[in-house]
Amino acid sequence: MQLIIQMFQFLGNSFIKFILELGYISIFISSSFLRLVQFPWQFQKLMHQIYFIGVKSISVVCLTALFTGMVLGLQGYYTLVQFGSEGLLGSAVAVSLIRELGPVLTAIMIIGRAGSSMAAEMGIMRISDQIDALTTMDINPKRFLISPKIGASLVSFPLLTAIFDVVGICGGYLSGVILLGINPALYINGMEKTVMMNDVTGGFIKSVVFAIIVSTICLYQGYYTHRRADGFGAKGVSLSTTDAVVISCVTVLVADYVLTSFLL
Amino acid sequence: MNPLIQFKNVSKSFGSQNVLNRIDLAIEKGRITAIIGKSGVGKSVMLKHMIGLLKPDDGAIFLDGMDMSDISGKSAKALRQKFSYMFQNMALFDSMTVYDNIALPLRERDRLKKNVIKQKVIDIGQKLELEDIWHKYPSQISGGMKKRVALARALITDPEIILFDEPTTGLDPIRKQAVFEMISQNQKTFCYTAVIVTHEIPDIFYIAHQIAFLENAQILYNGPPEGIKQCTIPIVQRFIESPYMQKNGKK
Repeated sequence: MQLIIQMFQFLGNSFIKFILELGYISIFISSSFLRLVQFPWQFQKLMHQIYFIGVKSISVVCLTALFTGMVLGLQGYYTLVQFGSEGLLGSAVAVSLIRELGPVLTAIMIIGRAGSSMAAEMGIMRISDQIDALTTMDINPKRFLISPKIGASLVSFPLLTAIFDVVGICGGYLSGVILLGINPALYINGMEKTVMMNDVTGGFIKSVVFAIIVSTICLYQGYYTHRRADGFGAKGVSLSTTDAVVISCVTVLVADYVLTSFLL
Repeated sequence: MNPLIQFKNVSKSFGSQNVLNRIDLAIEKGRITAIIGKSGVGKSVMLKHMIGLLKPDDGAIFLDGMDMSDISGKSAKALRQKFSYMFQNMALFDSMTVYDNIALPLRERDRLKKNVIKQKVIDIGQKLELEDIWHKYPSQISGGMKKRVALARALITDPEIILFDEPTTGLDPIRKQAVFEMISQNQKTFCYTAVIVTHEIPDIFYIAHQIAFLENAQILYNGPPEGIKQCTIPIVQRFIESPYMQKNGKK
């Protein structure tokens, strides 16, 4: 009997904690969004963040896209050739990249490069009283620190996803057409026939949703690093950064499934 | 006369540790109040309550007769603009230069023009001998310099109330003296209210109008600096006598 009560207590506590956390995140994101559109706009800070989150991620996104596309081309060719349908390689590569792999892998690469750094930056600012210092100067920390990063993510994610898609398709072309000898016209034509505007729109919607998820989770973890019960100071920052990366990655994958089921 | 800041029965705990226990303290307008006591007794916690970074578990803090917990929206914003806070660990923005750190409140909060900001920053920089380090980052300067930069940032907005959390720790004796003189001089000129958390005894007695001694979550002495020397509470006596003895070379 005692065991059952303890089990219910644990479940209840976890559920309350989850709801509380959800509430905190909702307040965090809504107030940050409000400040994003608040006048005067912070163009300079936004541009600076677009450079950091977007421009500086281009190389890693291109590299990942190229090899993802090449692997898709390789795997797709050897599967399709068994059915004599290697002409469909272009469409297979393009559809899988535009619908799924582009938005998801781009989000995961940005989490690793910029998300972790955003969480660590916020965490260090929190433990060294820099965020409190902003409050005492009557500078809203969410407007000053969070909003430009969320705005920059909203701009960068779709653009990087588009770059990923294009480079990935080129990678597929490289392995399928140049290395394995598929007819280039078949590759391009197949792609043109299969890829619809809905696929592109779906990928764009996913990338915007992932931008909100990733920036919110990473910034939230860093911003509230002092609330952690399991670690303070540098340890707290390291745990927050780890949590930011893990939770963002998992949430992106879950959200991808949910979005796909709605968009299909 | 109503006190500018008043603690009424304020209690604050962190977990099982009771840091403030039914504290009463009145801080008069236009005066320098020093909060002294051993390290870790809750002096900085008191300062953070004054500026609203921490909320009391029990009791109330009044500012100009208004309960701080009742103030929100524009009134809270107007209230915050009266304050300036100098953090114990300086809390400088390590990704900004010294110049940008000092100019930040003028740029982001007051939205002043570039040339006005420049003039104000240069003026305060000259007073605090910061001219040679404008383009350096906080990690590239010494602890003493960081203190002066933090002090400059606290003073640049000409606030009505300045809360100093150990403003002289880590400074050499000459600069320590200079900082206290500057606080005192500026206070006389601009009539701001200063609350200073410090261990600098007896130096603080020469500039403070009121001393509050915090120990065991309670204020054991609250009064003028002259009175604390006559205080009969043993722990207060021990605390204020030790620096005197060190200064006079007694055993």
